[in-house]
Order: sequence, then C-alpha cells, then structure tokens
Amino acid sequence: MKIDKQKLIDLLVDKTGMELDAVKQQLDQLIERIQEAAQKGKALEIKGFGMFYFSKEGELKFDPSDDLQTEVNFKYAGMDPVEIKKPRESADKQVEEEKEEKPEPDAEDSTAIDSVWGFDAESEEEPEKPESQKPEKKKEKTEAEDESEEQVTSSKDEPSGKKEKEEEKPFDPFADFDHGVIKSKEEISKEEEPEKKPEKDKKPEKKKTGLTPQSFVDADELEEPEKKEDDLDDIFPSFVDESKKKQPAAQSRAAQDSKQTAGKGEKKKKNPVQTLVTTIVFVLVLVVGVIVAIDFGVMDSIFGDAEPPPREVTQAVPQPQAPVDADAMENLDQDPQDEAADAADQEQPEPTEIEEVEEPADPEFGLHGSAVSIDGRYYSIILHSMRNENRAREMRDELQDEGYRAVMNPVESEEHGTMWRIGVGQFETISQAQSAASELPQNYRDNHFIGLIQ
Amino acid sequence: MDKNFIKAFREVVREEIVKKNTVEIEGLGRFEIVHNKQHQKKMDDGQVLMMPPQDVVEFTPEKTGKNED
Repeated sequence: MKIDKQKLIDLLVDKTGMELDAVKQQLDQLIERIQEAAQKGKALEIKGFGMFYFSKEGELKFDPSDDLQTEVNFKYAGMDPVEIKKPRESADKQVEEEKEEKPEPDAEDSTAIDSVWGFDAESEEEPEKPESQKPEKKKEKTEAEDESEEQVTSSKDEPSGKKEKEEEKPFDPFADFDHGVIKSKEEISKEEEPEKKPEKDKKPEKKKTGLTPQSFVDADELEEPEKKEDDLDDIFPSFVDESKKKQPAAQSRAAQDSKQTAGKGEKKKKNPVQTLVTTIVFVLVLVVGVIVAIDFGVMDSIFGDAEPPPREVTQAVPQPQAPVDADAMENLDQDPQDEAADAADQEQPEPTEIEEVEEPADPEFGLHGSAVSIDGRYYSIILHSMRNENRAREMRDELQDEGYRAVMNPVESEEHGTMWRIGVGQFETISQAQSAASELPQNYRDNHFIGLIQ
Repeated sequence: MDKNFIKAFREVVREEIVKKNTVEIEGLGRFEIVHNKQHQKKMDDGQVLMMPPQDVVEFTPEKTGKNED
C-alpha cells in the first residue's frame, strides 16, 4: 500500500488529534525545513527517526536512525555475519601462534631447551643407545600388563630414584648432563604433545588420558608426583617416557654417561636454526593430526566423556579400552625399531582408535526429530529472531509440532539486549544447513538465515 | 514547530513502513522498506562472510528541481 501525502495527513490527524489544517501546515513546514537545511549544507536530524542531508551529488539523502533501522529490521535483529572462510592473514597468524607457543615451554626450564637441541644430535649420533634400551622397554610393558601390581612396586623405585636425580639437576651439572640426554628423547615426545594440547583447549589431553591403557595407569600414577611441571598435560606421554626412562636409568646409565656428555658437547655446536626448524615441523604435524581429530568431532564427545580425573576413568571403564590397550601396545612396540617415527607413532594411532570408540556417541545432525544437545558448535536454519522469550518459546514449539528439530538460542546483542533465535535443524556444516534450507516450504525458504550456534 | 507533530510524524512514518507500506511525501521523497537477502561477501583479505538478511529503510528523494521553487 502506498501512503501519499493526503493519507499521511489523515493519519497524522488521527494520531495527534490536531486540526487538519494545522497538520497540513506543520507538514509543509517540516518539509520546508528539511529542504532548507539540506540546501544550506546542513543536516537535519529528527531524533528517533533519522537524518536528512544533501549528498555531494546534490541529492537529498536520508539515513535512518539506529532505532528506526532496528525496528524495521526486527526480524533479523541480532544476526551477525557468519564467517564462512577465514581470512588468509588469520590463517597465517594461527601458524605463527603455534610457532610462538613452542618456545614457551622450552624456556620454562633449561633442560628442556637442552633436549630440544639434543633432539637432532641424539638421533644422528647415538642410534645404538636407544635400540638397546627399547627392546627392554617393550618387555617391561608386557610384564606390566600381566603383573601390573608387581610392576608398580618395582618400577616405583627406579623412577623415584630418577626423579631425585631430576630434581638435583639444577645443583649438579653432571647429573644434569646424564639426564639432559636421557630425558631429551623423552622430552621430545613430551614437549610436543603438551605444546599442542594447550592450543586445543585441553581437549586433546582428555582424549589421551581417556584412552590411556589400563595397564599403564599405575605407571602414570607413579609418574605424576615426579613431574609436577607437566602434571596432567601429558599423562599419555608420561608412561612412554617412563618406560624409556626406566631402562636407561637402570642399565645403560654408565655407558651413556660418556656418550651423552660427548653428544651433549656436539649438541651445543649444532646449528640451532636447523634443529628448531625440525622441531617446528614436528609440532605442526602433530597439530594437524589433532585438528583432523577434532574435525571428526571426536574431541567434543571425548571432552564430555572424560570429564572425571583421567586415572579414575581409565580404571572405571575398562571395556572400551581393552582393544585400545592392545593397539597401543603394538604401536609402542614398534618404537624401538623405528625411532625416527617415534613421536609420530605414538600420536597418530590415537585419533583413529578414539574414533572407533567414540563414534556411537557422536551427536546426530539433521532437520527433523527433536533437538539434541550438541557439545560444541553447529549450524541451524534461523527462521525467527525476537526479543520476547515467551513468544520465542511459542514459535519454537510451533516449529517442533511441525516436525522440525527446533532450537532456540539466546544471542546477546549490545544494542538490542538478548535476542532469541529460533532455528530448525542442527547441522555439522553450513552447506548441509543450506541444502536442508532449500527444501523447506516456501515461506521458510524465503526468509531464513543460516546461523552458527555455539 | 510543534513537538507533538514531529513525534507523530515520526511514529506514523515508522508504523507505515514497518507495515511494508510506501510513504511518499510530496516535496520530500519516498520512504520504503527494502529486503536484502542474505549473501556472501568476500573481503579483500580472503575472508568470506555470510551476511544476514536485512530489511532496510530506503529513502528515494523526489526528482530534484520539482519542488525547489
């Protein structure tokens, strides 16, 4: 419908209760003032309505006030643009952040730095040593499986002795040397995992701890008090470290002493840039692995499942872990043969294993049915957005009655307060949501928006 | 100018355009609501945004010269 000046005047008369002539006069006056002001190069603002002004081209322009714009746009108020593709720069930034984060844990203690440098030096110069250690480590683990109790007591002594040594490090330069190198191997895996974990909001930790094979839990517990710095961050790596640690500590310490001091000397000479680059590449590979795992939706569900303290979990839920146990053992057993792939071996199997265990827990996405509580983010087809919560609830129920999976989410908006968005469906990706939206009835299809709920 | 009148003017125009009516004021121009569909917007930095749909007030001035004198 078109409201012309005559109709407008009628409406104004109704509204104000003024005389028709008075309204006419006022309206003319208003128009005149707007034109005048604009021609003088001034803007005329009607509060709560908008601003009239002349553009450079000499055209009268009108900018609606925020109030008016919001009111007019009430249906979509509170909707913000959704990022579909990240800006290139931010992608670069993320990589930079990863790189930046790496030095931090290193800087925490000097031995860690040593071990970073030691990484290359060791793998290049001391291949025999690890080989001698690792087969034994393997044995120990099988033992651990059978008689974990015994293992606890026996291994308790060794690592604790070791722990003392580690603690001494700051005071005894030679002990430092010993362990700096022994540790370095362990630290490589240790460092890398904790590093990337913090980036992923701790979820990876949980995944790992949740999966830690039962037989190793004891070892973990032993380890815990020893390494306060790492704490829960690397329970998984810790049992690997532990087994590695034990052997060298018990047997080849003397033999290593000489080797390691020598190796250490060389290490320092090594080109730091080269070693740094190697470690960075390593870290990136690991990070990619974790990201992939997250993409599979694995982390989220694990996050929910593995909430209780890791050690208890592993003990309390033995069944799902049984297969993992065996697999994890295999992977660890391979380590001795292929030490270059050491760290990678330890990590890559995890995501795949977890997938199997966790898949059934994955939330179902879809347009119909009833809303599922999804940990994390999903896309929904937003059909309404409103301020009134009760009304929003009604709308949601209506949609639910129509057979849609109706969801209702509050969105905090600075200027409009809390807006309630009513959407249908829960989708993993925006394209799934879009294709589902294209199949909606005409009235919904014409007026929808894909929203990201998180 | 009468304050009540301004207020009423503002409200009437608002109410009418919200009802999707076009308000045409001779000597000034035309107010109407235009619906912009959601669309993807590419930024220079490679970022792609899905812009929400929007109803906006659009004002079309009257042909210049007609009411100037």
